[in-house]
Amino acid sequence: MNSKTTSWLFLLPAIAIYGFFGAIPIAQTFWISLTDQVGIPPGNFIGLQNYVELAQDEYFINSLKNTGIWVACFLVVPNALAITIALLVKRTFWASGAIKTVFFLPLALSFAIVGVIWSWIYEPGVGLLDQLLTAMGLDFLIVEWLGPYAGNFSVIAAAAWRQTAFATVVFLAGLSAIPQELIEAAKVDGATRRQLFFRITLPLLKPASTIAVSSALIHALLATEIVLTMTRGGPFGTTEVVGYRMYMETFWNYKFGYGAAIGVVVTMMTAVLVVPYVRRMAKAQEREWS
Amino acid sequence: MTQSDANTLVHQPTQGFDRGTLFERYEAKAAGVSQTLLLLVLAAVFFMPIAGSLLTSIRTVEDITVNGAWALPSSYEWGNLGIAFTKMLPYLKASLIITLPSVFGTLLVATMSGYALSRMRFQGRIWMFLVIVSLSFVPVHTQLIPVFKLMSNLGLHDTFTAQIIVHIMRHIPFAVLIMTNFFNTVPGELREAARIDGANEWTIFRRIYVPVARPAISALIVLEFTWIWNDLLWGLVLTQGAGKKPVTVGILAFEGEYEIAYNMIASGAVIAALPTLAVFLIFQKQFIRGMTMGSVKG
Amino acid sequence: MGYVAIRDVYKNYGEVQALKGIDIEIEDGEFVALVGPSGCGKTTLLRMIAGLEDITSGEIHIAGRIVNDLQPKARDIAMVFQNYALYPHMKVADNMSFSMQLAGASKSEIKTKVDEAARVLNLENYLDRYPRELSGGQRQRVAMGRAIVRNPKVFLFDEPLSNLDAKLRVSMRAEIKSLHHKLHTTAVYVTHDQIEAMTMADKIVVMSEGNIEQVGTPLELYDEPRNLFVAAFIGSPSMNLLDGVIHNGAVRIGNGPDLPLTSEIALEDGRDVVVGIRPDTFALTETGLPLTLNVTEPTGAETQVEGVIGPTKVTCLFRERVSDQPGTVLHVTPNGRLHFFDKTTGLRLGAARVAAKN
Repeated sequence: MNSKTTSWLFLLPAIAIYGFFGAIPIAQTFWISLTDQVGIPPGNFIGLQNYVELAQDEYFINSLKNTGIWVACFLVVPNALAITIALLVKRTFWASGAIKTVFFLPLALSFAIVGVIWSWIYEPGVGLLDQLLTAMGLDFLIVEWLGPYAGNFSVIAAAAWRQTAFATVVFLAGLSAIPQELIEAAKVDGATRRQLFFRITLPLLKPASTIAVSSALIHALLATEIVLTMTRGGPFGTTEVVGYRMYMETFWNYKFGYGAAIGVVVTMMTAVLVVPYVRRMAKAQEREWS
Repeated sequence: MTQSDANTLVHQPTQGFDRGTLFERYEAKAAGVSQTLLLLVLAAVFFMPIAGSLLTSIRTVEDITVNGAWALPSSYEWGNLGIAFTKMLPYLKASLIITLPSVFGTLLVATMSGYALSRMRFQGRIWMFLVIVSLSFVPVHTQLIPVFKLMSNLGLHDTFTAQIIVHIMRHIPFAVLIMTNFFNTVPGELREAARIDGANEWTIFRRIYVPVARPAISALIVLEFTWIWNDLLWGLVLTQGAGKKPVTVGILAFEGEYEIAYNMIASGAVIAALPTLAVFLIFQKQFIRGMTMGSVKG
Repeated sequence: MGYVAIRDVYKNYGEVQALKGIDIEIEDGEFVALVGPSGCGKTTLLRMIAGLEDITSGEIHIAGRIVNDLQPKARDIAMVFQNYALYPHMKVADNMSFSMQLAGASKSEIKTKVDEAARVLNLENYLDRYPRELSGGQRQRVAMGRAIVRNPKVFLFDEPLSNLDAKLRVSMRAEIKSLHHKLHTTAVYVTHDQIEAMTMADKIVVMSEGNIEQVGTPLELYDEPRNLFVAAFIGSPSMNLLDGVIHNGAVRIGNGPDLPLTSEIALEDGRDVVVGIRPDTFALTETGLPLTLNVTEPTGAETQVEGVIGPTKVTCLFRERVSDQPGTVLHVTPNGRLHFFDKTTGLRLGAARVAAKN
């Protein structure tokens, strides 16, 4: 048996499983999005009509807008917080084991759990947040957290809690990869704390930032499970996001064709936003191999 | 000044010398203290959701409404957790039955593929890499509908098998990526030495490369266990009856059942979170190693 | 100016004492080498001068200022790191001028300084490259350039040549030395390589286990080592140390014959001493100390011979060629200064020669 055949034999299980249950479905989704399929039985080919309808569907456009807010918030908040936390943990080295665990812990929780916990936090009056603010004399800050105005941001905050944990892991690893000598050299060169951060640390964190940013992008674009757990898109669709719309149109309204079209749109958005990251990763990999 | 005066002066803390301005001297210390304080505040804020849930889970509803959500329990209601555990037990069992084979399957398939990919030094290997990375980014939304249909047609709707297969499929790209990257760091001489010793491909893989890859494999096991256990969407889409639903779906049902019994909801959350929390706390090192080895998701 | 004083400096890491009361005075413009085996505290001391390490007690003065509480940036020093510490995301020119940029120097001033440093260091053609595109020797030069452009009060070197291959190390050694002649900036140079210290420094500080063993010019250390540690550390191949007994104005080593000493030293009869003999002071003679041959290593000009005299391993360096087989017994006589050390304290007692036979 020659060695090339052996290699393919080793690859066979992965290719078979992913091909049959993963790759073919991707192609099918594109096809279904061009039909008026309702439920499981195949529908009729209707061309791009689902997409035309989507462009005029105010529920969908509303969810698109909310997803935009998700992306904007997710790019900034968890990453900025995580860089701060990572720097602080790195500098105040004592007790960092326990402190790190506190910051990493949300990573172990599912979005279902995060949603349940944060729903209770946001509960009007009796919830953890309102009571905390009241105790601190800040009750004028209290709003209807999961109401029509704050709802989307409150759900984002819950998810950001978990995302921050992830980004902290990534940035801490990134910081550890920066040779201590470089930091010392910059100190000797006369850098202030601010200059040290913006001119040395941050540029050298680029690989970590790439990972943290792309992860934030994906989670913001797809945020389905947490919305499903916390608000089901309500009140009045103010917390609906595209991923959740897709789920609703498909598995509540049984409009499989229409849902598939939303799935395709989500995939396209992901592809456009994530391609730069994949390219950078591939470049790094190529350099490693050459 | 005599010679001996000069000598004693040298060993006393010297007065009258320029020691730098107050700002120059105390800037670093002041910054250090404020950074520590800021870190502690952030940690406290960060820990609040978990602390609050733990606290709420062992109190009574009256206690919460009368004394406020942040008061210490007036009585410790460990029974809440017991009730939650009994109610969640079928879901926990289902999650275990789904997760363990899924993790095993993913690891088996991915380790084999990673081994093959790293030893195939073919041209355009970079394209293969690109494809795998891209696949690991494919949103679940592109696969939900056809997979749902396929499982129904295969008569696998509302079975553990369907969920196991889907989880393996979804996690193959990431796991293959990690394993390939790991095997790329293993020197090729290892295989050549084993071949000269008379081993065939399967023996080389099984007896040499799998043991060598233990750090990567253990990290992947912990990561995949957490991720698969925590999945919600497939559990919702692919099941019907209570018996086949994982605990992530279970906690939602539980929440619906208790509505405003916050203590019970918190108990449910604690029970549902316990397995992954325990795995995380015990295997934190592996978990973090896995994340940093090729972290593309979280 | 660049006067550095280190006064009664201690460094503790918890229970561990890394430095145990160090006193060094460094004149303006002096090139001082801190040398010692790894773990002796020399790098810690350098990092304390730089401000990268806290001072447990004592004082460090730089140019008339007590810098104990000052951050590195307030000390007006430049440092060349062991692994060069070049910023990987900056081009060579930016690496060299980073400190000037931070200090807010004008573009034209930066350019003048960088061009000048690049000329001195032969880096003119590399200013637009990234560190990863340079060879080890070029990186080393950039690290030097970064220190030069600042025109600091003190240069600090932390084993800067240890990552270069042997040939490059020798040529960089000469370059650093000539650079110091040109600039005349105070320099503190840490190395574990005593040859580097000997060839470059005006003054050498030999350290071991957090203490100073001796301070002096290279030749002072070579000619008059204060104790056994310095005797063994300075010189290559290192000094042979043999047990001996004083007997009637002569010294007896092992079972060898009495070697009568010149009168430069007067030690009482029966005193146990350690006799230090440099390898190149041995001469082959008809009679003398019996040397059982183990290995001969001819290098062409000289032959290095390893053998034993009594129980002690000995290295000799002969101008003659030696081609005897291992196991042969040769006879050797020290033909130069013998160094005497107290057997219990290890301190130097003096030196003398073997008196001509009468």
